[in-house]
Amino acid sequence: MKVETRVLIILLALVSSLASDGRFLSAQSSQGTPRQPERLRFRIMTIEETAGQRNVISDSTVEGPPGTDFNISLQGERFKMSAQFFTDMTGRDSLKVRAKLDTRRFYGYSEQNLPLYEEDKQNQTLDLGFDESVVLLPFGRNGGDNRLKIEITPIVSEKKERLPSGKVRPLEIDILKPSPGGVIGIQAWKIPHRFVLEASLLEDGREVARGTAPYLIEEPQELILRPTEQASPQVVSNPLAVNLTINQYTRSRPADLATIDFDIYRINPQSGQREAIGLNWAGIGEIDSSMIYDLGKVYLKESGKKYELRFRIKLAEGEQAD
Amino acid sequence: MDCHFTEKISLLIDDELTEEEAKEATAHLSDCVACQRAHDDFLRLRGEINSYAVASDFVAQRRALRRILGAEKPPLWRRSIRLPVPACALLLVALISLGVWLAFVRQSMPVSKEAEMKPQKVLTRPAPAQDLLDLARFDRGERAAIYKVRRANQGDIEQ
Repeated sequence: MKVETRVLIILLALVSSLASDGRFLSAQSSQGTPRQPERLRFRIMTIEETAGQRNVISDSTVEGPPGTDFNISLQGERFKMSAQFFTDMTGRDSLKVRAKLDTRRFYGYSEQNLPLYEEDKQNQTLDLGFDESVVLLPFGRNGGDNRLKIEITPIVSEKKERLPSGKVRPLEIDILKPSPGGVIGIQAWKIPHRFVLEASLLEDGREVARGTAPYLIEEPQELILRPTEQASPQVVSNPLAVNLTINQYTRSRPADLATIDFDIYRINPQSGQREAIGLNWAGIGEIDSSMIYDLGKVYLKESGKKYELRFRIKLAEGEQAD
Repeated sequence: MDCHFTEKISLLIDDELTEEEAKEATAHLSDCVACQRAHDDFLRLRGEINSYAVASDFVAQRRALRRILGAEKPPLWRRSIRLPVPACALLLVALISLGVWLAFVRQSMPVSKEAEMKPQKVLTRPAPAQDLLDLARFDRGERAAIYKVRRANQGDIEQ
């Protein structure tokens, strides 16, 4: 190959690399899994709508890495609201937003002169694009001429995941316009959301059935324990399933903690129907360590064998303990 | 106690005078009213101290003595403070300077500025009630709602 040809090829490669904004080198990785934004910002605006007029009462932003959660609280004399938002990226341009709304309204006084409250809880999951916003109406849709509205808008942030020093950039809450009297409060946090649950059925200490599944925090999910080769015919004909929720993730030492609650079902192999054998079981344990529950009183009691249920919760790939 | 013999009366009571001195003191005592009063006072004081002497604790004795002597302290309006002359002069100069400065500041302050200061006092009051967001005016007892809208239209196209 002539020297002129080599120079021409190198120049062409350089030009194409510049034109592709540096994606030349990472083309393969970007094709395999679309790159997610490094930081997301949620703009939270509280608006009073009066006869079509919009009056911005408060304005703030929450910014953090994907998976940042936040809470909006409204604290009046007779009405309180806590709206928790768990956010997860589901694609390059889409988010899963799980909202937990708790409201408490003063109702009046009882005959004994005790205060009475009306409480309400709602859970809602929204698949959100970056061209969409979440609208929260604390006092409902039919507010007459006067309506209070909270708009939550996701925006891809230009900021990098890390600071120039190399440290992970912390969460940021910017109060652009504070609410009058501090009636509206905003908190934000970042905890792992994605986990892998390993469940095993132990017969006299031997694993006879197992199951593994990815889990998302605060999202109940069923996991079926499949009998292993060592399983006895009794276990094979009485397979188990657990409906489990990882409720909470707590930063702790020496290891972080996960709080779970679950129901245990025996599956009818013929019909596939679930028969509850244990309801409202719960526990808390360290990440990546075993949580063992005795099934002696609820599963194959007459067999004379000791049955135990063992859980191990691990962080999913990409999640960081602290 | 304005008689020069008073100290000897005290020594007489404590039996610390020579025989000759004791005779002289006793003779003086019969003539001098001031020394008679002092003699009575010393005897009373000694009696009171003896009545407290039961306590063997040294600290308790000191406390008792202080209580006895404390009863003889002059009233507040008859007490005086000892202050060195330079410190007294300095204090006086400082007070005069403060007075002159206050008078100067009052004279040089224009009337309009004084007027401007009045509203500032008003600003220090708690925020008026209308600054607080009254949530009750939105509340009609309905259940909270949450939904998503497409942002491009800004017109709340509910989905």
